[in-house]
Amino acid sequence: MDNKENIEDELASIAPLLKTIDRTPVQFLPTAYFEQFNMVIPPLERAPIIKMQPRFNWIRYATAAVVVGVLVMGAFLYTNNSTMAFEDNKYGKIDFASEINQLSDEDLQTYLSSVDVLTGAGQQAITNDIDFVNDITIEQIPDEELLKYLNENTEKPIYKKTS
Amino acid sequence: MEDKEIITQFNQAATKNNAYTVLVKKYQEKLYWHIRRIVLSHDDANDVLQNTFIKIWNGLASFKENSQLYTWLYRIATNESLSFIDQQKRKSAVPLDEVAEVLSNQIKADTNFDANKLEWKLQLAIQQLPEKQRLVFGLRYFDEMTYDEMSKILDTSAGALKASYHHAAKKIEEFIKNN
Repeated sequence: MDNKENIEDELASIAPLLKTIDRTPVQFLPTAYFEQFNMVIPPLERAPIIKMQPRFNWIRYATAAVVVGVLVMGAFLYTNNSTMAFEDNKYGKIDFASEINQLSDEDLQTYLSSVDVLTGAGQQAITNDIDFVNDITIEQIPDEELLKYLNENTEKPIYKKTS
Repeated sequence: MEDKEIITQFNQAATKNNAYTVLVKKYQEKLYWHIRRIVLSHDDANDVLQNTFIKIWNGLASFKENSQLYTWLYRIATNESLSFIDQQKRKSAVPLDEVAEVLSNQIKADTNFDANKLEWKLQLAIQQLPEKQRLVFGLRYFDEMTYDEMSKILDTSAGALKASYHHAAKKIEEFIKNN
């Protein structure tokens, strides 16, 4: 520590008034404060510090995974259900009878012709056969053919073959 | 007991508590007044002194003897006091231009305050200084430290501290003469 004389000489040169002031503390201090000041000695050994970080991380990541899973599943199911419900509502509310009544003959003809196309060559062949049959009158069919047909398609023969 | 002996005994388990008690008794008064000059109120000074001695207990085993124990203790006390002041500033949010007035009011609130006494005028004058100058002035004027010792406590060059001290002393004298 610097000796007091040096400090006093310095003060005398820069601020002589300060040299004359008593430096004993004047502030309030409780009676016998320093005599009664007791510093509690902290415990010698510190309690060991247990790191919780790894376990905490594991739980945190597991929780995050579960939450994300629930959210994804929830979003998936919600989206799917709402689409299905939308489709159900869309067609469930249609009055098909009135809708068909509103169609014109031309529209129906157009639709049926498109169905013919969609049903393919087999359907076309059947239609053609029917048209062919419709063109033949019953008078043009020989009696033998008619009898043969009736005998084949009834339980009891109606006519006996005369030969 | 000399400082070196205190440190030696503190580093031995059998004499550790006794060495610490001796250290507290030896330095409590000096450190208390150093802290009190910074934080002003007795209750705050008492709290900061307790924290200071806890820090000393925790750090004394690793204290390097290439510096003086005396300056090391003052450094801890100074840091604790300044941390406390910073916390108080954040809580109160007093505007900068009102800080000196708030500090003066704290001085005047002391039960022993006497506006006619030169010692109290000195206390009021010190509160008009910036924080760093208050610290420098207190360490030199009241604790009679050398500039080298102060340099170790405040991490400032001895030349800068000397200039700061001279500046502070002149301002204080001017304030006392005008009030």
